[in-house]
Amino acid sequence: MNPPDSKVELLELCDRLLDGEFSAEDRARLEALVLGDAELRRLYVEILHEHATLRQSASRLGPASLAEVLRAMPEETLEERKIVRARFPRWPLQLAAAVAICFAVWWLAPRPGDKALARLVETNGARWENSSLPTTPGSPLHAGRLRLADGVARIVFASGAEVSLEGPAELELTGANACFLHAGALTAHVPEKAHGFLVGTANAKLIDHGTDFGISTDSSGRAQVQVLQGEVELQHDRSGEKLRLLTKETATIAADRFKQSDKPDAEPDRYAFNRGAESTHAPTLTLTTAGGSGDAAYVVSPGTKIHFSDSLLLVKNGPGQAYLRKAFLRFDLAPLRDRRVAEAALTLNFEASGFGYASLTGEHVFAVYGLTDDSQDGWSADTLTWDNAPAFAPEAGAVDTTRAVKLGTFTTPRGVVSGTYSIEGRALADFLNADANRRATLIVIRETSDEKNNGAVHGFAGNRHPTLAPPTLRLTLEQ
Amino acid sequence: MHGYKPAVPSTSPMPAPDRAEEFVFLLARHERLLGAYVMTMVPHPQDADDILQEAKVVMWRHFAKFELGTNFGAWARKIAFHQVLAYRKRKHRDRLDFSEDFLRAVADEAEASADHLEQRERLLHECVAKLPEDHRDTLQLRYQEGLSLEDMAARLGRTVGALYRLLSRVRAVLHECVSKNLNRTENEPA
Repeated sequence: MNPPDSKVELLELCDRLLDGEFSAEDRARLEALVLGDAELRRLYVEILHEHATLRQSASRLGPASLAEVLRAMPEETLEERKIVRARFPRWPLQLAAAVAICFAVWWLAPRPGDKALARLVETNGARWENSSLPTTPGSPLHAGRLRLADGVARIVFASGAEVSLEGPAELELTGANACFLHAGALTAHVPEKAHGFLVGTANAKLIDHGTDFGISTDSSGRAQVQVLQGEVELQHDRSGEKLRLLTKETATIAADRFKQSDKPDAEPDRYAFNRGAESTHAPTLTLTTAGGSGDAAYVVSPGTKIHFSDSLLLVKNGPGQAYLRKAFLRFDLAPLRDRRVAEAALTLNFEASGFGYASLTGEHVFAVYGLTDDSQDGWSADTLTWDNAPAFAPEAGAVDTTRAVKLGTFTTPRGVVSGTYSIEGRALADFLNADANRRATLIVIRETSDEKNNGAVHGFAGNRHPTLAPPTLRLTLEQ
Repeated sequence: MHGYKPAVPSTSPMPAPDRAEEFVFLLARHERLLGAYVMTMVPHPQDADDILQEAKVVMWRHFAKFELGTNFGAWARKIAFHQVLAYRKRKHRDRLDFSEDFLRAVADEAEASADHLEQRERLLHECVAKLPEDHRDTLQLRYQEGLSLEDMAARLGRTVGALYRLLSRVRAVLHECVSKNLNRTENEPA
C-alpha cells in the first residue's frame, strides 16, 4: 500500500517529466517510487501509456482535428480486427501505409547474399580469438568483429582499401569503406578509388585522403596516428577538433584533444600516448582557480528565478532574456614569479547540470576570453552580478571586446553535457605573459544558442565541486 | 536432351512476399502499443521514435524465427526492450537517464498489463471526445502540433505556469475517466 501523497508526488513527477524541467533529483525520486511500490509502478506505466497514445494518435492522423480523429477511432479499431481475420484488407490507406513500412524495413534490412564488406586475404602467424567473422584466408567478411590475438592479418575492403591488422587487436567492420578499431594497431594502404576510408576509434575518427597511414589505440581510445605517405584528417568526437596530417606527421589522440608531435621524422611509436611527458624536461606549473587569490563564479541574467548550482559554474546562451549564464575565472599568477609561459592550456571539467534536456541540446561553441582591463580583476564571487561583471556585454554570447580578448574556442557535440574540454595555444600564453597585476581573469561564454529554452544548461566544475578538479591552467615555462 | 528444370522442393520455406505480408499485418496491429511501450522507458519522443524504428528493422531481420500463431506482441516487446538497452549503451550517458533496474521493472509491468493497456487505449479515445473543447484544443496544440509550453503560451496569451497546470489537470481527468470506464466494463456481466 502506498499513502495517497506518494501517488500525488508521482503524478507531479510525471508532469515534470512530460512538460516541465525534469531534474536528476526528480529522476532518482521517480525511480524510488516506481521501484518501491507495485501500485505506483502500474500508475506510472498507465500515465506514460496515455501520453504516448495521445502523441501517436496526433502524429499518425495528420491535419484533421484531434478530437474528430479520436472520436472516429473505436470503429477503426474494430475494422482493423476484421481485417486481420479476413487477411485481405479493403482499406487502401492502411494497406498503403503497411506497404510503405514493409518497403522501408525491406530496404533497410541487410539480406543474406548482401555483398561482403571486405575479404580476409592472408594471415601471418595469426592466432584468433572468439571472432564473429570467419578467420580462414579467402573468407568474405560481413559486418562484425575480428579479434586477432597474435600475428598479422591482411584485409581488403570492397572499396579497395587494404588494412594490415597487428595482433593483439580487435577490429569491427562497419562498412565497405569503414571500420572501427577497438584496440590494437593497423596500417592501411588506400588507393585513390577508396579515398575517404574511415577508421573510427573511441575518441576520434580518422578519414584517409590517400594513401598510407598507421594507427594504434588502446581500448580507452588513447591513440597514435602516423601518416606514412599522403594525407589523413582526424576529427575528435568530443571536442569536434579537426586536424590534418601530412606525410611523416604524427599525432596522439587524447580523451579531449589531439596533440600533434613536434618530431615529424621520428620512427613510429605505437605507444607514444602512454609515454607523453617523459620526453619533455621543460619546467611546468599547474594553477587552479582554487589557489591563492583565485576565484570562480558564474552570473545569471536578470529574471532567472530557479536552477542554481553550488558545485558547477553554469553557462548558457538562450533565446530569452532570463536564464542566461556566463562563467568567470580568476587565476593567481604569483607562483609564476618572473618566469615566462611558453605553452598554456586551460582545462574545464564539464558535468551534467540536470537543468534542461541534453537530448534537445545541439552542438555548441564556447569561447574563452581574457580580461585585458586589469582594473576589473578585483571582482568577488560574493558580489558578482550579470551587469557588474568584468567586460560586461548585455548578450549572453558576447563580452565587451574593448576590455577582453578572445583566447580560443571549443565545441561540445550535440547532446553532450559532460567531459573535459581544453583550449590551448599562443593566444593564451601571450595573454598570461602580458598580464601586469599577476591576476588573470578568464570569461567563459557559450556563443551559440539552442532554438528553444529547453536545451541543457552546461556546467563545469568550480572550486567547490566534490570530485571534479576546478578550472586548471597547465603551463610549460620558458627555460 | 532434357530441358533445364529448376528444382522446387515442396517443403520450400514460405516465399518472401507472404512472409512480408504476414509481418506487415502483425506489425500494423501491434505498432501503437509497441510505440507506447518504448515511451514508458524513453519518454523523449525523438529517441523513442528512433528506437522503435530500429526495433522494427531488427524484428524484420529475425522474423523468420518468429513462430506464427504465438504472441507477436510479446515477441516484439522483447526485441524493443533490447533496443532500448542497446540505445542507452550507445548514446552518451546523462544523469537524467533511467537506471537499468527501473527499465526492467517498467518493462515487466508493461508486459504484464499489455491487454489491460490495449483496453485503456480504446477508452482513452472516448474520454478525449468527452473533454470540454478548450481542453481538447490544448491537447491538440501540445500533441498534434507538438508545440512547447513556451510556444503554446505565446500563441494562447497565457503563462507557461498556467498551461503546465492545465495539462496536468487534463491528464489527470483523462486518467480518471479511463480508469472509471474500465471498471464499468470489467464489472459488466459477460
